[in-house]
Amino acid sequence: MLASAAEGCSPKEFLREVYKDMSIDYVKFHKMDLLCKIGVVLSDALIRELSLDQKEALEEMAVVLNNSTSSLHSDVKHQASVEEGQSSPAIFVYTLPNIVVGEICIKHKIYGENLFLVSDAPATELLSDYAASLFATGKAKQCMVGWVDALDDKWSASLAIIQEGSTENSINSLEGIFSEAQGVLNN
Amino acid sequence: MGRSVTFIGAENIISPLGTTAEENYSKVLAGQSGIQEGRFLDRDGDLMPASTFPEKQSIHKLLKSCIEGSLAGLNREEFDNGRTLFILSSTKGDIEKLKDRDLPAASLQQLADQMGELVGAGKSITVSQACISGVLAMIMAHDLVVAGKYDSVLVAGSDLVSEFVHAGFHSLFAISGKPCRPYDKDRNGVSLGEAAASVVISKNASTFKSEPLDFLGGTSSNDANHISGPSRTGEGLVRSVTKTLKNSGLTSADIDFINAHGTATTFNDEMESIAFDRMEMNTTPLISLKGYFGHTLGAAGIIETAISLQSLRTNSVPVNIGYTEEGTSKTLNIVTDTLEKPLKRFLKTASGFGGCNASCIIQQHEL
Amino acid sequence: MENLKQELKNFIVTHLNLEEMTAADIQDDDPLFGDGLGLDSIDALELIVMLEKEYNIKVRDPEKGKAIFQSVNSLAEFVQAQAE
Repeated sequence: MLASAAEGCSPKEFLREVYKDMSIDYVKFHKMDLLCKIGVVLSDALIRELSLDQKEALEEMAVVLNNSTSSLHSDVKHQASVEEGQSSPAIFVYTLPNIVVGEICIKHKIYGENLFLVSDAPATELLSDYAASLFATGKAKQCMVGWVDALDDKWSASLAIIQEGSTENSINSLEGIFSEAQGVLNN
Repeated sequence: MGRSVTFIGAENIISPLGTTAEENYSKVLAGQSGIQEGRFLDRDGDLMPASTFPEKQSIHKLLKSCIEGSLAGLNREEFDNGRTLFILSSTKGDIEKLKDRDLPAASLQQLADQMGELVGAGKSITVSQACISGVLAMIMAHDLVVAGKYDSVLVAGSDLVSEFVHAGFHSLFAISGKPCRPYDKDRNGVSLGEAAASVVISKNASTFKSEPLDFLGGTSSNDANHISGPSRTGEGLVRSVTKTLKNSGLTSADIDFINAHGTATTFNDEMESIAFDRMEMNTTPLISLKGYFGHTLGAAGIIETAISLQSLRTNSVPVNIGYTEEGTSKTLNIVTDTLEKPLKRFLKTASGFGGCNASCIIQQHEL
Repeated sequence: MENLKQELKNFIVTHLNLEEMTAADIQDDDPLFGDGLGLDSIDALELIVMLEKEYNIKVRDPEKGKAIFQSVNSLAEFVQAQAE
């Protein structure tokens, strides 16, 4: 299962459209920063496609995400407000990249393993190895894994949910996912 | 499920308390804290306590010195076998570079790459998972070594006390005007701290010059509740510790002491008391080390683990500095007199923004 | 007082990014937290920032915020009282 997002139009416009089209209906969405909005929209699309059994096992799903700019998008805003002598708690709480993992877990009541990695390029091998290890040690039976990156108007994202035992958790498959980081949203 | 063990050691700490793990530990045992009053000027013009170095530090230099100390504790011909990984644990890295609008210089990967090069690692990556980064990085290291992907992983963590972070915590009313008091009735917030700490996790005990400890790995779990407030039922922490114990084939009775998170905010410490009570660990000796080092964010999991490695090495547990009176709704066995007795194993826990929680277990080396 | 309440409602909508809402949607005595507008603890802290930025009022104890931010009515009363 695969979903990826498009560059080109303004992230805000794109997200607003997708939010409506997908009837996401989640009040907290509007308070999230760009990175979290992207992560929530894509993860929603994927979770909807899960089978009933897979949805029932959702609470133990691992969420393992990766990007290169960390939370710079919100960091810059926070820094600006600090320099103006005013610090906004609503911006500050988004100055950590793993908050997108948190928002996904909160929305879908996921209590599973969490990890956020920062690297210049998708850490495909490490993510694949780590997902495989989660399955092998019994820490997870399904794993949401991918890349979610956003800085100003530049953004790219690609997520997948891989199941234990499926052939999809091979490096080739993850490489395919990341090379589609500029594809079109599939839902 | 069989228990999987890796070896952990070559711990090093560079903090306002000292430049080696041993030096830091002896100061901690002596009841010295790195937190001093009047170290940071906040937005209201008040001088706040913090654990900071006398002079402004470069996170690059701090990490470099720390890592060099860990490397000195290794048999290099064993460690440098081409199957090493470097993991950086940091929440904000060199965030002060944002003042100069130098975004590339604030890059975490750049910092990780530089340190990875110093280590001679085949690959470098950053774990950035708020305050659980350090514990999670060690767990990830263990898992990858057990999976046979790497033989040794050097994990190093650091964050500096910055205006960026201080202003943010201030806006959350989370900073205490006095040195922090984990679990205490009068606690009212964190004291920030800066430091670097590093450990090595390896497949082979022979990688280490001094005998290592046994690392049993760990797990993480999300509260699925709120991005900055902990779960009122301690859900994520309970789940993580329960899984960690189960995966190690142990029960809570097998834990000699808990090195917990204890940031000294009203909510975090209360959450931990509820979680440990749910797991019937009210009588297990428990400490938070944040009264000595402050909250060191990305370094926290590693610096605090390194101190407890010293505890196992010396069969001693330092007191929970800053604590005088019970301040949580559920009773915890907070260490108030230095424990000196044979110690077998400890549980390390951490909780962080984003609702994440992590735990891991370390024990004496079983020959 | 009515102008103040209107102004406060506008500030609530803008400062808290309440995109699906306008000032007209907020009644004077609607509970702002809990079931009402469904605001959370971060929103409460943001309102404290709003008070400082827009009215130069400093709330030093977030616990006091609970009473102040009960509704637009209580918030307006508080702001009015500070001005006197």
